[in-house]
Amino acid sequence: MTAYIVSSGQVSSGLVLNAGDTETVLSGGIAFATTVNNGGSLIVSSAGRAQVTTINAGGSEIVTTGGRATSDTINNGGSLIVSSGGTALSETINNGGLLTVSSGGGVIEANVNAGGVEVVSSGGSVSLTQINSGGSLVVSAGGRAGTDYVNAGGVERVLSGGRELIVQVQGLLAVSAGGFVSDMTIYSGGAGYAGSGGHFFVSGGTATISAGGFVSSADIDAGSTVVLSGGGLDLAFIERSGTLDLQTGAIIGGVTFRNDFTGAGGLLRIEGAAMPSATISGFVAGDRIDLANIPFDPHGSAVMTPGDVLQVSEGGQTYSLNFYQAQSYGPFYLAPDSHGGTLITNIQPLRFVAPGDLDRDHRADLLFTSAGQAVAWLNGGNAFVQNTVPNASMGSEWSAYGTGDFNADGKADILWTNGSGQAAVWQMSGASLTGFGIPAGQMGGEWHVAGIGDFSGDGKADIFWVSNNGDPTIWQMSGPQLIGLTQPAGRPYGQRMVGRRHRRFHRRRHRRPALGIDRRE
Amino acid sequence: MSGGQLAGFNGNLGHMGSEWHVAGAGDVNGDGTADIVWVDNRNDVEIWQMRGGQIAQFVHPTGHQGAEWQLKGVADFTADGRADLLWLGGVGGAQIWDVNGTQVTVLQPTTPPTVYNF
Repeated sequence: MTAYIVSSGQVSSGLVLNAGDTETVLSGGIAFATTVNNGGSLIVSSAGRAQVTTINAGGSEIVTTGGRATSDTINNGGSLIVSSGGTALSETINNGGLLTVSSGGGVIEANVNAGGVEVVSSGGSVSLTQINSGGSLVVSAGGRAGTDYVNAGGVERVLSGGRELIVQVQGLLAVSAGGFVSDMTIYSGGAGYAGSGGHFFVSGGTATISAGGFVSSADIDAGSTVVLSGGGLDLAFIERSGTLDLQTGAIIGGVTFRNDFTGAGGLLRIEGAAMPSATISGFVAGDRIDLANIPFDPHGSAVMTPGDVLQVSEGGQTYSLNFYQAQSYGPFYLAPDSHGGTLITNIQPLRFVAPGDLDRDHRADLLFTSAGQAVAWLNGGNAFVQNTVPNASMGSEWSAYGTGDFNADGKADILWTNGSGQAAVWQMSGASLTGFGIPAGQMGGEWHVAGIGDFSGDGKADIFWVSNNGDPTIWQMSGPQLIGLTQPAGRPYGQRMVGRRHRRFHRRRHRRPALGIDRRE
Repeated sequence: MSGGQLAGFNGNLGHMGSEWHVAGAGDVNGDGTADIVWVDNRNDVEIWQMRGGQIAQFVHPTGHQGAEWQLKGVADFTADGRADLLWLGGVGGAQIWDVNGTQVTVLQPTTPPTVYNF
């Protein structure tokens, strides 16, 4: 029964602590190569250091406030506790050894070997843990783990309230109900199992399941992505704006979209030309399926057939997707994604045209088109409300160019053009069509509309045309009537004029901002 | 322009690198003169505040937008007499930047569920 105290400037080396012996290492003291046997105890506190300690059966080491232990070995029956303010580096936990990390304690680079156990409890944190074959890491409520490696044969358990932030799995990662995992990679031979009622909850990161890896179920939270690159995933739950990326060879059992109507939908991306056999459910407005490698075909179709199979026809090929009770999801639409592939949605894809104050409330509204119809998003201040302009549509040769107040009623109207040098004006009041006309004029094929603006100063928007060689022409308009035609002198350095709208850059006595779109005098 | 005639012409006002393009024009600072809004391929924004056909000031608003957003228009969405910037998102939604000098107030109006066909 000896009590050793190692304080500032003192070093103990090769001490053996047996039953009843204690060694306390205080600030500035160092305990080097201590062996702690049954009943012995090593306490490292207040800026003390312990290095290369061996803890055998019945021995214990406690690292607390300001203490640091480095390169310890914990053997069968030995115990290392890292608590408030203590840190431990490069620990080795062998068969029967136990490393406990409690509130305020931190452990970096532990190696958990066969039969060894590391437990992270509330307030404790670990990182860079290597969990080797037969070793085990348990992250319990309030514990945090990050950047860990579950090697082949190793096991990590994330219990309810535990968090694992970045993990690479070749062994087994088991997540209980309420456990939280982000940014995981499951490699060949690795597996992730969710306990009863639990899921992998992937939040804000990316989880990759590689070929040969397997996960039983995953919740993919808003903003996060699960990449299934040849591995298996039994059940995927895509929450709001989560993304599930199915790469070629991925095995998927079922996909459920969960949408809380925040307006940002989930995304199922299918790479390659082979469609998964998984059943898709919960597909609502805003959710999208991206056939990333199927080129968008404007003449394609998406038709729900009996048996809840969606048949997508594009470029002469047909692709089938299985839905659960699909009759409640349709109709389906196809749109191009941003990479040349095809998006499947069950809401009308909208092409943005321009802002414009359609209802004269001095707040610009948004104008879209869809299949020849005009769709207005009226601006209510903190919400846009969608209205399709009723009883009006244009043929496919027309496209909406922009907005301008052609009749000086303070409400933006819609200008359409076709490929033959003609223009058409829809006079609008909110989302209602109040008048329609095709001006009695036609430009040659080398002309295109380059802007809308009040060039004549009469308060009514005019149409600015530019030819392929840079010559300008202005149609002076009054509502849908062409009332004058001028050709201003000037050409911009022989360049082609581009841009959707040319605006006035000089102040006028009475304000007329933004080319009559927003007229309010 | 004046009555359909070219009343004045200013070329070579300034120059931006090829990663920039004009996203629109509107009276961002409320001085009665339309300003030019540029955006680059990283979604940084620069505004040329114009006066009398000349650049009065370059303004670099402090905000930055993720790659999933596109700057699609410049108009007054808030009825405060100053033009705002309209961003539409790749997964639907809209954001309005109310720009005051270099300060950006980000407004996120509720939108219908949308798939944009840009």
